Amino acid sequence: MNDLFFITHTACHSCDLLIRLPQLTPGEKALCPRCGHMIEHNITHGPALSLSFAISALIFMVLSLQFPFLAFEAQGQTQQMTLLQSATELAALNYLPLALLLVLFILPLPTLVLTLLCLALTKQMLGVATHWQKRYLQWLTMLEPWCMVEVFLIGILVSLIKISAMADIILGISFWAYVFFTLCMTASLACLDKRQFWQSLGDRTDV
Amino acid sequence: MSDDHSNSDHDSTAHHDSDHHSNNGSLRVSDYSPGSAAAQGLQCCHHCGLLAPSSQHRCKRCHTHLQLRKKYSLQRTWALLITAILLYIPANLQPIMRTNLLGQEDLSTILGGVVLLWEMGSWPIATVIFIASVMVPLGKMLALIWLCLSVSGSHKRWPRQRTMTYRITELVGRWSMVDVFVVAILVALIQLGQLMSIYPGNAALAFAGVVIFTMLAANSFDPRLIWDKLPPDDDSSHPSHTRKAGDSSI
Ligand SMILES: [Zn+2]
Ligand SMILES: [Zn+2]
Repeated sequence: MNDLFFITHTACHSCDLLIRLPQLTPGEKALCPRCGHMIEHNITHGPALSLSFAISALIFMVLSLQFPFLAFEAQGQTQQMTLLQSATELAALNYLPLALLLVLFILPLPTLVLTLLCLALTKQMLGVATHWQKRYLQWLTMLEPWCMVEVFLIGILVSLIKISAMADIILGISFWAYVFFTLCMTASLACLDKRQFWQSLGDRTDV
Repeated sequence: MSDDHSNSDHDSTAHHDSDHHSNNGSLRVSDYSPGSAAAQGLQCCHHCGLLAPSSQHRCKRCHTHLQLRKKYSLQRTWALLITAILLYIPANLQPIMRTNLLGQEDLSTILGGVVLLWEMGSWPIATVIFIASVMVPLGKMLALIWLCLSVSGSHKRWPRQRTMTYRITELVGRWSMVDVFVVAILVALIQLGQLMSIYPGNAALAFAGVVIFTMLAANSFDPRLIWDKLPPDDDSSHPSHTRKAGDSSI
């Protein structure tokens, strides 16, 4: 087996079928012929789109921490809440594990994932492949399933509908920033094809 | 290999040479399905997808530790799955939320909450919560039990459907967290003292545990095990070029 064989072939992660990687034109997807798992997706301007969405997501996330998130008005009493308060309130009521879970899944982990994505993509676009870049990408893959920003957004909507009957809800600026943060983050991850990324890091397999 | 639109079933042109396949020298061919990388003495890095010989320990491109299959996949999946199932019991029996309205305390369980929402007429949310908190975790655990049992009993039917089940299980896992988030938001938002206050119940944390442990269980299951035990004649839809490349180079 020569070196070229190892570069042009791969195995499906789902069923281990040995596959020769096809030359994809932009917009095309390669699916495993045996189990249907997606092998590669050639996204037009994928890295650039992914990077710009990631940067926008980070900006929106910072914005969503600055302003009131939700306000709640019932029988003359008003209560306002920022995004971080949703966790600190829980911690103050002595539900620390729940508070930690909540804040971990919606703030530090997504921020870390976006930062790693930005770092890896910037270096890739500048054309420098470093050892660290590969680390970033590995960590990114590991942490990605634990980001639950969009699940939290659905959670907000459900709880708003639940209490809308008994109180007036005021959506703050932060709420809208959070919506855009969720959209940008989802788009950023969707525009990244990891196999293409790895390939762009060099067929020089010895880096 | 097929592109976006095409179906894969038309490219089994090289079917006639499949019987040569099982005598490729000293490799442990019989343990793995024909056409698989493992049957040809190859493995794939799970991080970067680079192919390497089975004997290699670290990926040349990303230095990840290489494994032919996930280690102790079934044992770990079972252990995590059983933990999730055990946590599922208090998650459903204990109250997930305590509502204090004008001094009166009201406990609600996950199912109780769904029923209440349904009776109040807000059936769209009732449906969302029912799917996310009842159907998804239950379906996920049943799917993983089925997958584990079918792999250890070396079932040969529906490999593609079972792989699909696994992929869906992996994808929807996070969404069960919705109910935990709803409780957290309501608790943070509604603290009006005697007038109305909401507190989380024991089930909130138990349910978060169910979600996390089923996610870990799905993560430790190796879908390639579904295909490993397949007999040579069962599935022959590999593209011809794959076969040629594999044969000529060994
Ligand atoms: Zn496959
Ligand atoms: Zn690798």
